[in-house]
Amino acid sequence: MLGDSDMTDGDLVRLVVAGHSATYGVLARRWYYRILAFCQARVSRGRLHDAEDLTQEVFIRGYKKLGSLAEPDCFGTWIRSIASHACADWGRDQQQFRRHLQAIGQTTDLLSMTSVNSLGSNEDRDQIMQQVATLPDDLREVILLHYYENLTYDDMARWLEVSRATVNERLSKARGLLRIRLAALRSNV
Amino acid sequence: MNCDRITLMMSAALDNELSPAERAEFDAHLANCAACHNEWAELRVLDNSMKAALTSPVPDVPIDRIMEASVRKSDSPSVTIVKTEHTKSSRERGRPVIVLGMLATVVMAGLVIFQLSAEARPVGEVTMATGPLEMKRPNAREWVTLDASSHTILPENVRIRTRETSLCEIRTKADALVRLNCETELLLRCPEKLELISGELWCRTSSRSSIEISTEKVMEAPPMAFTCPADCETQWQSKPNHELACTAISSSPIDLQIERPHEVCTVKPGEAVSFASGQPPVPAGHSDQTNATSWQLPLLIRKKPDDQELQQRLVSILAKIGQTKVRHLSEQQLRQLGPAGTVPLLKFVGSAESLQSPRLRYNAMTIIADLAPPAAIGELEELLQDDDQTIRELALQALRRLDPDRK
Repeated sequence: MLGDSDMTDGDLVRLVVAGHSATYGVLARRWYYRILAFCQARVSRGRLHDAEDLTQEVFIRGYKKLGSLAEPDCFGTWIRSIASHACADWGRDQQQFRRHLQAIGQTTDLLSMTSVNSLGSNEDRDQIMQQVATLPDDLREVILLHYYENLTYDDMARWLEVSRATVNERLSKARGLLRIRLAALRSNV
Repeated sequence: MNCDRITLMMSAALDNELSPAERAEFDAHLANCAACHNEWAELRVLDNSMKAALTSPVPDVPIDRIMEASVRKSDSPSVTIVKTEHTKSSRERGRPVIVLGMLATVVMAGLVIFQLSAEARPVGEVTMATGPLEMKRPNAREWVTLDASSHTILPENVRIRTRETSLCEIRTKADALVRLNCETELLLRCPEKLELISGELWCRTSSRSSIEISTEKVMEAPPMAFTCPADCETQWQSKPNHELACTAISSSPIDLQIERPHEVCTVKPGEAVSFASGQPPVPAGHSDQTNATSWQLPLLIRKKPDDQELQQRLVSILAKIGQTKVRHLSEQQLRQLGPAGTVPLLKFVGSAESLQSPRLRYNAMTIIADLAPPAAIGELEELLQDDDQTIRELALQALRRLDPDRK
């Protein structure tokens, strides 16, 4: 498969620290969607573009601090802790971030997104994204993580540091809420 | 088992996270509880909608922006705002381009850092074919011929078509398996969206991803689109007047989600349903699943002889020989495969599992006796020691055909 590597995270980190900067792209690609789901669960209204900006920021910070990672094989949990701090910074400086993006003309409202090659309804997609955005943070994260990364329940449990039963419970609740809310919206059309 | 418990199991069932015993209990309850069955159908519709909203396609990984900002020496260690390009939606952006010129060194054995344009984003590959295929890239004027032996990577929005006598198998990036019958043309819009232009295809979705099958956009009729849920097998045939017929090959009912209008059409195993734009679905008869998919045999025998799917198909056909009104058809299907078809048959006869089915072993050996090639001599000589006298005699018959001087 193009772009994949059989090397461990620890091997990749050591390569980057040794000067093979390009290798960081493999690490970023490997963890991108988990961090995206993490950030999107924590930015206000789950706005995808804000989450993408934040995720990129996380990986840039990660690159700069990579030399300080004491356990290279723990890159995943380490980059998540960076994401946690970045989200906290975002929460404090959101207005500053937004002003900057507006100044350079690079904000796009999530609801006005269109997609190419879609035979389906954008209105449906927008409704779904709106309802995902209204979920509680813990439910939103598990839903995004599941659909972005297609992880098993065990893998999600390890990443979220909860039990497998909790993963099941959160996915069930999230889907239950989405089903009810989307049905209510459609019946009002 | 009460309905509350079933409801709690539904999410795990959807994601194939139930144990076999739990799944058996779950299925048994659904078969007898209309309320839970309806709730399950609604959940599957929701799941397909979620996949369409969140994974078709997933947001691009902006490797170029991350790398460019990461290695820039002037970056301050404090918060850095990345200038992202949101003039288009993230789903419309081209694939990221790695800026290798800025980096000191590249590469390690085993690492592949690649550069892709939006047009070349791979959405699948041809895994095998029985003859030459033709492919037409987006915006290309001409069709190009693909060698049957090459594993061709298929880019987004590529058209692929089989000729009069060729079949092919494609695996998409969504891990769906698609097989095209002869004279079939397919447009792969993305790993999860297939447009059947003409002919017939069979599709098996992965356990985690659904697939959308649609018709071509034409002046005469608006396109139709159907979402096949994860973990199911369907066969689709393009009909005259822009109609599309779907046969459920799976052993359980398939809930097809129809776009415009939003509704679900349940197709039972072996049943066919015909769809015409703007019309309600019309039942189109019932077919034997083994016969309906027998056209795939020339492809399947190219797999390893002990391939599970191949062996299962052969056993299904062998079981029909001598037992049904179409027994001759079943035997003919296997004989038409020629000497190459005897390789997996020999694997079956030599397997421990086949010992439970002496009749099927006999059916296989009668074909092997007539068609086995010289390369099978070793296996035939082993069968001379078989416990079944009939098998020994047929093996000897085959050996004498291959070597008339043999006593």
